[in-house]
Amino acid sequence: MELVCPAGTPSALNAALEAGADVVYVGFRDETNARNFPGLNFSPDELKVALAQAHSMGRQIYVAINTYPQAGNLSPWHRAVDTAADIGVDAVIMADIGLLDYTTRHHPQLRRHLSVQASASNPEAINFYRAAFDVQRVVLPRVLTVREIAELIGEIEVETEVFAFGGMCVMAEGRCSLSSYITGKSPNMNGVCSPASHVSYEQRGRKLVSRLGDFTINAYTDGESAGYPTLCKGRFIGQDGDPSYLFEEPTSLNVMSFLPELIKSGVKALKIEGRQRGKAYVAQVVSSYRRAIDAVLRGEALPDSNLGSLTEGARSTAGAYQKNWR
Amino acid sequence: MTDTRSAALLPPFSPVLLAGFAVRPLPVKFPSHLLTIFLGRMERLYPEIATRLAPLGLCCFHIIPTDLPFSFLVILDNGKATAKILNDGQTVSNATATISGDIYSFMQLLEGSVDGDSLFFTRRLIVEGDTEAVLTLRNAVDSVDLSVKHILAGLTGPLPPLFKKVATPLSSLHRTALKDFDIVQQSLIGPVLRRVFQMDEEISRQEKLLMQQGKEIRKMQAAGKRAGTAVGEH
Repeated sequence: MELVCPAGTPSALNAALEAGADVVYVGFRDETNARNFPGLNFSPDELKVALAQAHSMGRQIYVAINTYPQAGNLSPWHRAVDTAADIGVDAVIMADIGLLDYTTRHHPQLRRHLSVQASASNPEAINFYRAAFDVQRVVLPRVLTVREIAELIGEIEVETEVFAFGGMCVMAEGRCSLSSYITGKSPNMNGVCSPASHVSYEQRGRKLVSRLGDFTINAYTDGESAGYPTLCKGRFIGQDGDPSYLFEEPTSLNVMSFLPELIKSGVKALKIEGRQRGKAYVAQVVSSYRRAIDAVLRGEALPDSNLGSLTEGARSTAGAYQKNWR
Repeated sequence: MTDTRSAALLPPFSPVLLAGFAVRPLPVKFPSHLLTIFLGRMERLYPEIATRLAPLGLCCFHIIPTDLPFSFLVILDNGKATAKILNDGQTVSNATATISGDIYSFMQLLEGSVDGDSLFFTRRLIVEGDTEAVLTLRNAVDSVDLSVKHILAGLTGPLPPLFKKVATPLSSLHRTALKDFDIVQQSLIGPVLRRVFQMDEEISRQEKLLMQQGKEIRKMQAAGKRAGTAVGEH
């Protein structure tokens, strides 16, 4: 079982490697990746250093080029692929079929993984990507139960990678445009959901009010855990008059208790989300998952881990892996 | 007198808070130049920070340690940082963003030993103003393995050696004292907390009762309406 970990900066990459990551995934400092936050990500020179460091430790680096190229402006995406290939990264993670085609034709030796942004969750879709672009691995959307994942693995010829920990999305990965309605920018096109340039927090007496653009997304009372104001996790007043989370509550994914089943299902890699988080987050989450995976593989019980303070809303869920809704 | 500020803006009970009270009567002529020297050395040791901050252009952050009687105004000009010390309560009208929290959290953030998002989610850090600028600052500082000890080690002049000499023992003393202060705090607020929990339980009980009564009233009103309609139909 491969542990694939996030790094938004070189120091987070150090932290991930020290904590026991098998693979670290990163992005360039532009809109070609789905974590295009200010001050984050890698320059080509930083990536070269990172790759040398990872390889010297017997680890790998994947590069996410997983947004959808803008019509009439393909060059940043093509440049990102060319740079990743020139540097010699171990794989690229991508979603757009045009970009997959470009990579297949220009850099056939560069290993290609299908991003979660492609939202491929059935054998027909995944086998198409395999046949058309020789994709070696698929990152599965967070919509399947462990049993469904095991069944899917029996019907496809590529490796599978699943999310283990981190921020949750509504179940329309790669197809969500909620952020665009308010900010004009979306994760698929601009690499950022609810961009920080449109986010504001205001302390009103004892309440913390979070806003996205001109819309109030939430109001937290004293002592209540706060969250990032994405529209999908807003608390709104519906017909009954009480504010409630109409789409999704602010909570993080944590599938640690399902590790034994996931390993048994034949999943090849576990992914930790959070390139936008600090190195302290990376160190703590990666080391906890490293210990847990090693314990399960040795046939031991899952060790205790305390990741509660790192979760959004101080809560976590096993999400669709343990689907208990219809 | 009751403090009406948000609990998040109230300083934690800690040795730093008491030390802050102790120095409050002194004229706040904290050596600003020492801070600028510190920032200069930080810039030399970790040039990557300035590169990541450069897109911000000219901006300023008002950093308020809630447990100290002064605050910092950090001015960035294309990644180059200078700083001023401000008196307690002094406001800044043109700050790009204001960040409030206890000094220990700020020190942990500087060294990347704590996750900034977690501090924010748990309300130990309050951010107001330009969120994008704050995020850029956090990401830039977090992009290197910064060590305050390392920065202090190269400072020159009469004050830094003294500061270096006391920094390490003070830091370990502070860590030990924090635990003791936590025990004292728990023991002081314990009875109040118990009372609050009792009141919370009572409020929940009353809320349930009210909801039940509301339901019953709505049922009775609906039954009344149905009876009225039935009469009308005949």
